[in-house]
Amino acid sequence: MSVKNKIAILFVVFALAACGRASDGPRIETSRLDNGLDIIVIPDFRADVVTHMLWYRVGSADEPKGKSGIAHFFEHLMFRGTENIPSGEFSKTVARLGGQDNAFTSYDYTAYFQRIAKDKLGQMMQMEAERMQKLIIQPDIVAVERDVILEERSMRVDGRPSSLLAEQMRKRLHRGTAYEVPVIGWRKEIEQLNAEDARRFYRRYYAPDNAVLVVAGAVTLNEVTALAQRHYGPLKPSGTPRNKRVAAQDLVVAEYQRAEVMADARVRQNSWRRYYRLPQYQRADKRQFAAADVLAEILSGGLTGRLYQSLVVEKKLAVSAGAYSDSSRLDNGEFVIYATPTAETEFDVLARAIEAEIDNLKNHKVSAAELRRAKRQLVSDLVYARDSQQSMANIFGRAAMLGLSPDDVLGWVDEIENVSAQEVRQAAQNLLLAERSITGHLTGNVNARKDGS
Amino acid sequence: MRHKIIAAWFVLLSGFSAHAAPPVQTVPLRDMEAWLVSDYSLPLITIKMAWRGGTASDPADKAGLSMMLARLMNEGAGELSAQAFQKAMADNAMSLSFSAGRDDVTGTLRCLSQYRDMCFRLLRLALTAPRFDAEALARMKQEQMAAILQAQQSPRSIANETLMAMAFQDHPYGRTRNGTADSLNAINAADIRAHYQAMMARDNLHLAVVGDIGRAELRRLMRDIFLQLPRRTTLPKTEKTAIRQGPLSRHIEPTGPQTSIVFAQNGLGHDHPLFFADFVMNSILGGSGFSSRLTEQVRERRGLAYSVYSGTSNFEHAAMWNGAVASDNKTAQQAMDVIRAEMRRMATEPLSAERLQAAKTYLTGNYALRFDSGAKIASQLIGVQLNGWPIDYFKTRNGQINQVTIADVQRAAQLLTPDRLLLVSVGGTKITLD
Repeated sequence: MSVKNKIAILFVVFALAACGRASDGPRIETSRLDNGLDIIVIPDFRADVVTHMLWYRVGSADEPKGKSGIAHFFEHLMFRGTENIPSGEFSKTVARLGGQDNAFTSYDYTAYFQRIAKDKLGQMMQMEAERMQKLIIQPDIVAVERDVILEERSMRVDGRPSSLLAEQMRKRLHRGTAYEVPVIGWRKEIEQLNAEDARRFYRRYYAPDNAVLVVAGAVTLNEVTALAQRHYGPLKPSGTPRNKRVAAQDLVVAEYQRAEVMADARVRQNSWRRYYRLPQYQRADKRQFAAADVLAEILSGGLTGRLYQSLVVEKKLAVSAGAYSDSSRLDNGEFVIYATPTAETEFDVLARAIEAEIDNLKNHKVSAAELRRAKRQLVSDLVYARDSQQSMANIFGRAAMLGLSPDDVLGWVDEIENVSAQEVRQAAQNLLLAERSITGHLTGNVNARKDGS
Repeated sequence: MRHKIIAAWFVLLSGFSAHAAPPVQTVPLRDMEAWLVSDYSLPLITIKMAWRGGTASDPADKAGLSMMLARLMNEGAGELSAQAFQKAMADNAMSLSFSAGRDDVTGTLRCLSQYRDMCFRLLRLALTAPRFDAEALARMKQEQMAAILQAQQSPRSIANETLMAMAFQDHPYGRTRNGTADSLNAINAADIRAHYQAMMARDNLHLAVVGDIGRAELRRLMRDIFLQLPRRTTLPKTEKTAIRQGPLSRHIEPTGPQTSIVFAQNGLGHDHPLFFADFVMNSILGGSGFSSRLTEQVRERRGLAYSVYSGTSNFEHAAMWNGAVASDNKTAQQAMDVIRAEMRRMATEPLSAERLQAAKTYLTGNYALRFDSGAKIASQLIGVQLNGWPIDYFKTRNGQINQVTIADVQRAAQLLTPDRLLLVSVGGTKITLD
């Protein structure tokens, strides 16, 4: 028997074994303090360490007009001194205790975390609670930190043509909504941010009822809740409801046929990308996002994906190609397709070949084998994620920021399993719309025409 | 199958021991030995396999050969074309990938227990009957060429490649791992096959296995797969080398708001008596992120950079101390001056006992964080083997750090040569070592 046949037979056996009812997920436990702080605990006793995260329901999308970058700027200031912890000492204390810490800011949330031995969890909570309401914002430190952030922007964005391109594309794709502004902020606006902006932001958003505590690792819900009650329990809620967002479902990208071109002499390798704006998550039917995940897996998914197969293997127009669906945002997410053309390939030839693959998915159902393979990849990714307590804390914390419970996350496996070939086709038809997309060309040819043709 | 996957979610995780490192067993078979951590709390298996060799073993006119080999090891084997092989991997929810470092080529297999038989079969095929088809070869060459070009558009990569060439000159460490357009063009399928046969042998193999697998099954796997490899490697030995003496600096002009700076000098190798003192010293100077003096002085106090660090990179045949910073063109020289001042201060000013203690509790406490997942444990097991350290390193490491004294740290710091660095700056400001 050839190996290929053996593989085929094994595959059928697995497929047959796949019937049967799915159970609930791992033991994720939740509770809530009287002041509104939500608690999620993800037990994992393999090592005596914990990941302690505090997620705030505030991100760059909540910034006042003209103050872009304040959410991220503020995240930096959280390391710069409280009543009892001098500037810079927060991280040094965590390190001295054998831990690591950091933080990150996105459109819809800001999260702070420490990874440390389990017996230090209480102390981490004490420190995190302290900076939730006892931060000291000093103008001289604010001025230094602003320089740090300008350096960060130079490194991550201004010095990288590909990041500048992404920024310009999103500005057009999300025009009129909070996501038209980059998380790190516009340089001109960062330069003007000051201590008073930071204080105003702090008072409004940093409160227990605007936060979710996530602890993964060698702990039980009872232990975590008791410690949280002691350290976070005394904090006062703000009572401020989450900001309403602008609805943008019907926005059409002006001049969507005109590509955004970033021609920069530093570029040595051309690249092409397209962002499709997804429907606003909060108001949309969530099932289509599960279908979008399957669709992206079918398009992408390494060598077996349709884009790679068609553009790289068959037509030899590209060196790499893929896609992903990023629907996990409160407002409009993005479905992203990208490709690196070969030296001989013009952008419009590449775009036509990609569009042919998209049209194919709109016009024909995917095969059962393709659908099964995509689902298996997506579902097994979640099993692999269980290996890392940090990944688990991130998955459930991010979901909580979208208003999703742990059960919703675990139910996502069923959602994926239930996606039909017809739904994948509908997702292609409904979500991959040219008039809600923007295309970008990154090129080293500084004479490239700005209209991208 | 589905509820097996879901059942995996169910189990309360409760595997490894309460100490920093989990218990590691050695599993011998003939002339091979694997390091194993069995853990049955998740239905996952991770296998790391590494062969000494790596890009340093590429012939000068075929630089990029090991990277090409790594790219092609999962692109078709036995009767399976690249396409069929990748499909089989996807159908079995497994991943098998290879990467080439300067001193080794390392493969990583991750699979779910329920698909283990197929995973092991595909691994066996990949290792014993790789195809190196013309189609895959052409495709991977293009991929590698794109990687070469992409590296040329990042200031930090340009700086690093220039620094390595400056530091190691004609030694293979001085070449870029992906090679050049010319050296890549010179590589054909026969070269790759010969390199595979010369490198992937038993006497330069290291194996680390973690997860839902016991001794007996591992031995079976070693017999079925790894015992099929040739007994001896025929790669030529890479020669020991040292980093060129500075001061020497080079500036590369373009563009952008920042100047990216990298700098280097000789470092202390594993066998140096001050190795652990140097490790502690580097942690305090520039290796511990927010706690390091460089971050404190360059970033927190002066706002000159977002990221700044230094530390020792140990290659198998050389030790390099290096660091990096990127700062606005207007402030880049100041940032570099502050870094060099901190290097001097480290050598002249003894640490306080508290500062040394803080560094020790950071380094020893942090060690446990490298063992909190199966994937990380596998990386640690293979890393210790590649460094040539004994299996009790996991237990003795923290003790050796705790023995370091203030005087040891100062002695290690006195080996820093802030006035004789090799330095490369890429950006608007030419950085000097005056």
